[in-house]
Amino acid sequence: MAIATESPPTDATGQYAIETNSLSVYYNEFQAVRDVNLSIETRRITAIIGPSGCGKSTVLRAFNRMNDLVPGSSTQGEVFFAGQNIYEPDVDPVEVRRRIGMVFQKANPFPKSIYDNVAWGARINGFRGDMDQLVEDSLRNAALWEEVKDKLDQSGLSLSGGQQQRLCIARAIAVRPDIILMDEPASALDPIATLRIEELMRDLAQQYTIIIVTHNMQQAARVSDFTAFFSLAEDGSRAGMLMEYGLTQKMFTNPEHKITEEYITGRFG
Amino acid sequence: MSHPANGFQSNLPRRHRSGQAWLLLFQAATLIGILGLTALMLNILNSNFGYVVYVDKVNPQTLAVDGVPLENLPSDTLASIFRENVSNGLFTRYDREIPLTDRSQSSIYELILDFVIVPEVKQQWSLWESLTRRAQIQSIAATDYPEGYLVFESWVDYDFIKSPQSSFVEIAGVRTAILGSLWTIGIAILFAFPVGVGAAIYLQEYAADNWLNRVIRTNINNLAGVPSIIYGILGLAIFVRALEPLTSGAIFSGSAEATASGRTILSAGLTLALLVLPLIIINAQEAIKAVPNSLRNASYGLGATRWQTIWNHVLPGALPGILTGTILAISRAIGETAPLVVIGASTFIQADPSGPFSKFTTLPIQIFQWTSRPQEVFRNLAAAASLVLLALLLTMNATAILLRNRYGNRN
Ligand SMILES: Nc1ncnc2c1ncn2[C@@H]1O[C@H](COP(=O)(O)OP(=O)(O)OP(=O)(O)O)[C@@H](O)[C@H]1O
Ligand SMILES: [Mg+2]
Repeated sequence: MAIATESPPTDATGQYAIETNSLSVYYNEFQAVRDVNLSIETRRITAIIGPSGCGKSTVLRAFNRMNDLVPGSSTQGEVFFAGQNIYEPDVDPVEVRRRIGMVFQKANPFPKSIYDNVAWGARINGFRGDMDQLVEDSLRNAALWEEVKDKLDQSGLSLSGGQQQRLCIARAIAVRPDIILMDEPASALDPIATLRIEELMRDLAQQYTIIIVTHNMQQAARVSDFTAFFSLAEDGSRAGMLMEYGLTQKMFTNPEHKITEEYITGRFG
Repeated sequence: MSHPANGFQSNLPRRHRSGQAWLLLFQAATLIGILGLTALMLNILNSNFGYVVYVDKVNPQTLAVDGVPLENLPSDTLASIFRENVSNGLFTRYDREIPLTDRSQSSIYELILDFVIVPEVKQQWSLWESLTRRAQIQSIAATDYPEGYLVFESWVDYDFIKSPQSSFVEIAGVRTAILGSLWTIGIAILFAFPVGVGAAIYLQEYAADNWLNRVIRTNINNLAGVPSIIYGILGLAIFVRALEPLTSGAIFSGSAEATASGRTILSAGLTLALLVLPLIIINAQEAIKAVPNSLRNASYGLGATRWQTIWNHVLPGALPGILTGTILAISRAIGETAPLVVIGASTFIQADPSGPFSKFTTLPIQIFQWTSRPQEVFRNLAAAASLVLLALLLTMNATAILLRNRYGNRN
């Protein structure tokens, strides 16, 4: 395993958790994402926004090699994590995914008990410490502990949608990743559950680097420090490209490109 | 209801009518199916019960000693009665098997019943006839067989299940066939289950989606449709002939005690295993495919390896479907006759199978042989054996379903 085991900050300046260099992703012949150069700040929340089909999920999955699991997909360019290009042949994607966790759009707890949902990932990754403590800490970090502490042996599927999503977040942080990727984690939740998840993200950002894909402009504005705006290439190839990237505050008040402004204000997308 | 003017026509009554017509059709189809099954059950039951006229070769009253009826005599008296009334050869045979002095009173009584008194079936009637023409049957029995007696007989009973095959209708049973069926099915599942599930895991979770694997997948589907007799021919060539040293047990025992022929339970079980393998693979593949991808993603996203994902999430999710496939496989295998005839099931065998290297017969083969006898009375035995086969099938399926519910819905 070639990834350095110490935690980030990792690059020379200690600033970036992930850096991509000319990242392109293909599904068979189709280029879904083209030439993305992006530097994700450590212990900050970065939002990825853009119209449907512009490759936001694809980019996110490229960050922890989940795209490897999609038949017919291929990746070009480089993605640096902890000073190492994770697409080098000697890098084990299994280790990458432990260090860069993922929360999916649709909550997907295992059909196991709440306890086992949180404990399983740690167990298979060789955690030897106090498992009860780890489960409690993870659930507390995910702001779920108070709601489930009396029913840890109940099925994870018995929880409400918002609780299930927080369970998935607890499960992700139980393996002590450096980065958490979230693909529209609140899109299926009501406004109150959404707010809880957003608060949770702010808390987590003190320890973790968080990258979140969202369709909700207010959410991006509320929760993120940096925003990356993706859109389809204008040459008609339908490849997704990074259009603008910077501080969220700047992008939402004074975007550089007209297309960004149009998207943010809802006139296109 | 008012009728919208913008180009729609009121067609609701017609839509309801056509829905009604389809419903009727489906109900008719269901009814035909139920009628067919009922006819099958009635047919089996009809031959299973009914009046029988027996005539004893020797009247048991003539064997009574000092007014004590035969069934109450002590063992040693019964033993000497047996010795006096059967040929020397027969006596020596049974005495050598288990010495008469060691046999219980009831077992000696049974020997006398089977070989001395020998109640012989003179005529039998079906259940339907027995119920509708009772008086007539009784008068026929009384006039045609004055020394005989009329009994309402159930052809399937405990004796039928526990007795070995015999050429006498009265004492023939299916014990050998039941044991043969259980052995062959057991061996078939023992081989087909792990191999089938393993192949399904490989094809679904590991194999790349290239032309070679597509050809393999398509061909497994085709194999499931190959007529079973062809598997019989395959089994004959491979297991009975080519692998004879293995399937006859010669290389294990080295002794000549083995039948020295490959026509054994092992060959039969392996042939059935080949036969049901595609069925198990296809069902396991479908079950694995039905496990939602979100579960796999969740697992991989936590840094699980492929095998950890398969073992902890895919297989538990697929288990109910895999077991359903296994139930289908058992049902298919237990009724197979043709391939076992081809690989050489024994036509007449009385000894219980003692292991995978024994000669064998199975229930469907026994049924087949009894139905092909010219005498009408063997039809009743075939019907009784059918009932046993159905009961065995239901028991096995019930066990598999229990297992499925027990381990399948754990979550
Ligand atoms: N598994 C796949 N196989 C083939 N093409 C895919 C696959 N996944 C995504 N694509 C294609 O890649 C492009 C980008 O898809 P992606 O899911 O990354 O978009 P997105 O920005 O996340 O969209 P949304 O906002 O609707 O979730 C789309 O054109 C899509 O059709
Ligand atoms: Mg998406």
